[in-house]
Amino acid sequence: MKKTIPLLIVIVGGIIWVLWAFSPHYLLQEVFYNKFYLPWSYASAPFAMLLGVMSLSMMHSNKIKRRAPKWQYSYFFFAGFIITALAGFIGGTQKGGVFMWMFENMQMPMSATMFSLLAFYMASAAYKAFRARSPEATVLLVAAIVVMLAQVPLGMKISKHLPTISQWILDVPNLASKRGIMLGVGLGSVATSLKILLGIERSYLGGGD
Amino acid sequence: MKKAYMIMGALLLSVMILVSVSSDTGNASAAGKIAGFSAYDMPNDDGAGVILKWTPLDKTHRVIQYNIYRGANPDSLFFLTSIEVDPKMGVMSPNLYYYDRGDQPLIEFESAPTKLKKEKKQAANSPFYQRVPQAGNVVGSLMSSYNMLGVIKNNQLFNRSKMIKLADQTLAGYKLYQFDTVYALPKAGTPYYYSVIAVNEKGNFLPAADIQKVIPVDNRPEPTAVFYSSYIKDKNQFNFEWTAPPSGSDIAMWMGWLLPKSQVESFKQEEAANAQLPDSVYTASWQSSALPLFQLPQYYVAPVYYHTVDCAAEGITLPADLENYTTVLSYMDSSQYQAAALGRSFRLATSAELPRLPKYKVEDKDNDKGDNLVIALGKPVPYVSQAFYLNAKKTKLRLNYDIAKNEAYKIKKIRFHLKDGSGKELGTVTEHFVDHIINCNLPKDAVDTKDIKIEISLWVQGEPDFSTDLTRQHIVYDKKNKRFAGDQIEHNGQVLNELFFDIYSKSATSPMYMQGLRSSAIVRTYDHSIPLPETSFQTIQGYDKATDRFTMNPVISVAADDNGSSGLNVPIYREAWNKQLKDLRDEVSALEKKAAELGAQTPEETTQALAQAKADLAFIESHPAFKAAQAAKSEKEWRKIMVREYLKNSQNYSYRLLVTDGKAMLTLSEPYKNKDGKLYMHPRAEWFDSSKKITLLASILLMVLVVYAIIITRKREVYIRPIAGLEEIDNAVGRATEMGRPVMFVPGWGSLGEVCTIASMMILNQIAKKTAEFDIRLINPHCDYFVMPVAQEMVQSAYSEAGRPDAYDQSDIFFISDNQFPFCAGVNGITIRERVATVFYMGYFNAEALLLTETGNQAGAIQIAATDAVTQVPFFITTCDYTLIGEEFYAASAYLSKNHELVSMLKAQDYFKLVIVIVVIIGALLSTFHMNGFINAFPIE
Repeated sequence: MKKTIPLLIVIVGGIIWVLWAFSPHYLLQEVFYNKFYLPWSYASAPFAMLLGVMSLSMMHSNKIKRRAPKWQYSYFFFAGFIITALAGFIGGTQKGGVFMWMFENMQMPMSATMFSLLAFYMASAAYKAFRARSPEATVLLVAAIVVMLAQVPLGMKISKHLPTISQWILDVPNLASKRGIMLGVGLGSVATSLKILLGIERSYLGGGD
Repeated sequence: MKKAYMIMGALLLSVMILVSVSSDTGNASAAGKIAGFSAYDMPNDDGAGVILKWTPLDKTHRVIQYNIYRGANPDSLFFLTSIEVDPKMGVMSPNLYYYDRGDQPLIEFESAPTKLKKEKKQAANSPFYQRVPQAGNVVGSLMSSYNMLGVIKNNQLFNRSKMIKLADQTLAGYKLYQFDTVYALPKAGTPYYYSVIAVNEKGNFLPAADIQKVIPVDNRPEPTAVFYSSYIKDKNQFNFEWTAPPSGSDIAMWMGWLLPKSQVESFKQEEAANAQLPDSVYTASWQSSALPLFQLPQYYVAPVYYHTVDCAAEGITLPADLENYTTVLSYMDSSQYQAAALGRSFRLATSAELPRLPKYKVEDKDNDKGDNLVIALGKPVPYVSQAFYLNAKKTKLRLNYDIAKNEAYKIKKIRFHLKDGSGKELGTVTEHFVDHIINCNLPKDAVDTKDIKIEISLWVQGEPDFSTDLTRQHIVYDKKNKRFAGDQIEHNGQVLNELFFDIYSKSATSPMYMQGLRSSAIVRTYDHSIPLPETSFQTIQGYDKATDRFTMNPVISVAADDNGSSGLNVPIYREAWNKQLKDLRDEVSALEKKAAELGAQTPEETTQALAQAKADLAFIESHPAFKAAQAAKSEKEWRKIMVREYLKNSQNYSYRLLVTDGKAMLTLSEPYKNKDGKLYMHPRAEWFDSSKKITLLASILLMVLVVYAIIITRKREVYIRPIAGLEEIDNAVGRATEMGRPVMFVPGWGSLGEVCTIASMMILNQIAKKTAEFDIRLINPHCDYFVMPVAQEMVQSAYSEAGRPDAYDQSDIFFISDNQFPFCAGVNGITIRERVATVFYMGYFNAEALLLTETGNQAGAIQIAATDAVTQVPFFITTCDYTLIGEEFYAASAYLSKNHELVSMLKAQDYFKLVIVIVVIIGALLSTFHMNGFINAFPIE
């Protein structure tokens, strides 16, 4: 019973979604999806967020209690959480307020910093990838050089055929492998959905069977 | 000494802060007041418009918005709306304007305060309030100053009212909270008060502009209507086409005139003189020498108006020298103010010159939820959008073409016949698969062709050969752009670029056709969206203080009569309807009695009134909804029948098609009837999306293959290709155990609704079993608060299964942030602080993938990644030790569990891949031989 009921819920829910995917009927698209499912999902989202906030607070308070490594940083979480929440609740989230000021002058630059790190990591990853250690890596290196050169005016100066070759690399071998992966992904995701829908995959219910 | 310096420094800083704050407050009261604020009546309108004008503050004030306040008296002005500006740039123009036509809601259910609130940071005696509150008494007090319009859900309108009986009528009462939105339109002749307050980026309200009083008045319409006319000699018929002047929404009557050209000058002089006179004074002595052609009441507002006058039917005798005449459009608004505009063109033509209507069809739209009809405007039209040479010798030409398609015709083949400017043959190309590109090899003697004439014909499904309907284009080479540009599109002898379609539509609840769905004649389809009416706009008539309800007189437009009667329009209360019906029956009896008494002496008006009343009664009494409703036992049932019929009829539509050159050369079709002779079309909701037939078949095939694979795997051991990343999981967890450091599992960026996240959770379950077995800590950070509890449950059950429920620590599975980079920073921090030995990245990843894995790499962790995000696969491959690509990710849980049924799923996937390969080969072979039916059967997306 402990497993049958959840399994039934999953199967019935799954069948409803399969019907939703294959049927454009008003009852499924409008009555079920727009008028039932969406409002409920919007309504439940804030409660789930509360769960997230509680989890994060518990994790940091445990760290402080246990004096886990670098536990002092957890105070920054509580300070940031309380200050941001107070700024939002008291001052509002409109432009010109403390909340928006903190968002624009603290969170946005910090996020931008993280994002800009990507450029350096990319260079490092490219270095690792393009070392011609094997014939496959050499092919990759040559293809990358051609594609990169074709993106800049210098490429055209070197050879007028470079953009054509680059486009061919992108359109034929690259696209073919990309489509192969996507086909596999599509098939894999359909198979995973079927596994759950048919009750073949039951690991989410716990138990060894 | 140091301490003293610090104290002095702190004191100095405090003084500076105090000074800056005090100077700031001192300035705020004096500076920032808006100058040059004025409010005046909107010219040429219906009396419901006010214009506000003010000089914006300079950018030093860092203004973020200007709040506009309106009130019916100077003591209480409510926030109406705001105009946002850039605080850094300020406003470049010297003046800011706001046009108040009542289009901003007075109350919106979602944003209106519940009680009357003064505006922020205002003195106690300030007249400025926040938005009008959701308080019946406050809105009720404004009723006399505005024309109120309520937007209300039909369910509330029809079923949640309270009957309010007044002396002379029965009205429906509604509480304010039942409305979605309430609009307040200014009334002509009523004084209003306006002011503007600037708000700076600190959220401070700068001093308000001086309150201005304005009384909007109804004005004469502008004499700027754009009017075209034509006379079709062989039909003895006038065609008219015009657009109303701006602010012409209150025009009540349109009148067309035939004016001798000799009078045009005096007409212009008179109109110029009228412009200088007060609105109430209008002279039109030109009308005495003009011949009236039509009088047409304005029933509804349309972007373009059309009218046809059959002179024979109307008994109009035209002058013989029609070429010496021109046309004039005069119009009158609801306050009897008049204006006139001279026709821009008056063309004498024959019916052969009129644009021809295409053969159009109205059909239900396929695969929708029952709220669309499609009007297919003739056959598809192919046309060349551009062409260019592919080689330096200019012997190879590429043509990019497009097709104005519709759902009624499916294209089989397209044929392009090319000639040069002198008519010399350049070749014919037949397109078998529509990919919008054709390549053409020009004859060797066609050197540097500069212009090409193209004839395009279509072969549509259901027809035996290429159609004789030809599209012709003349494209000319543009040396500068090195391209042939597409020219005018001539289809069956008509230049489509110069023509327009206008679709007239009418629902079965509406008495007349309305135009307005206008498009270029190149367009061959129109999707008419007809959703079920869920809300209504209703005029609020008053406020009943005793019940705190707003009164309205809603009518259910059950059905309109195409034969001229008033139709079946019922009030929402049965009692009121019965009274209305009784009054109608009494009227018929009274008129019949009168007609019988007077006999042959009966006046024409009485006969007409009797005929009309009889027709009204006959239509009502014969209507099936009326009969069914009369038999209803309760008021609720009676209303339900009427509303059901109204909803059905509001989706029943009839159409007419008009084609015009935009200058009154127009042809209007008869109402469309389908092959069964049905006038009204009703959209149908389909239960199955036919475009997904192949998808369904493929899913069924996969299921069959799954069953087959299960049978096979039960009989014998099946081979699964070794996947290095999965083989290494044991080693990776073992390594962490040896090092005494934790394992981290990052489930990526997907939500619980995505299959990749579900697959990731299944792998987490398997990995958790191993960490429980090896007794090593498992850290699992999350960015989705829906996924986190699922992960906690999965890990907990895995630990229980491994017989180590005590080792499970819920606080190791936690939420970090739902924001991409904070999440990434959090995970990176944990990687470094906790010195994790093994990291699994399993799920959907975006730009954070490389940031995470590079950090893991630098921390010396073993990293195993699996994702279905194709763009992130290269980053994982370069920075992780093992990467599962594509379907390997989905195969992981089966691979790790070695469960027979799950493994059979992998085999089924392999069989299905074989099917895909066979299908691709068949498709490629067939399309090579121009047999495209097979590949066309597959959906593109």
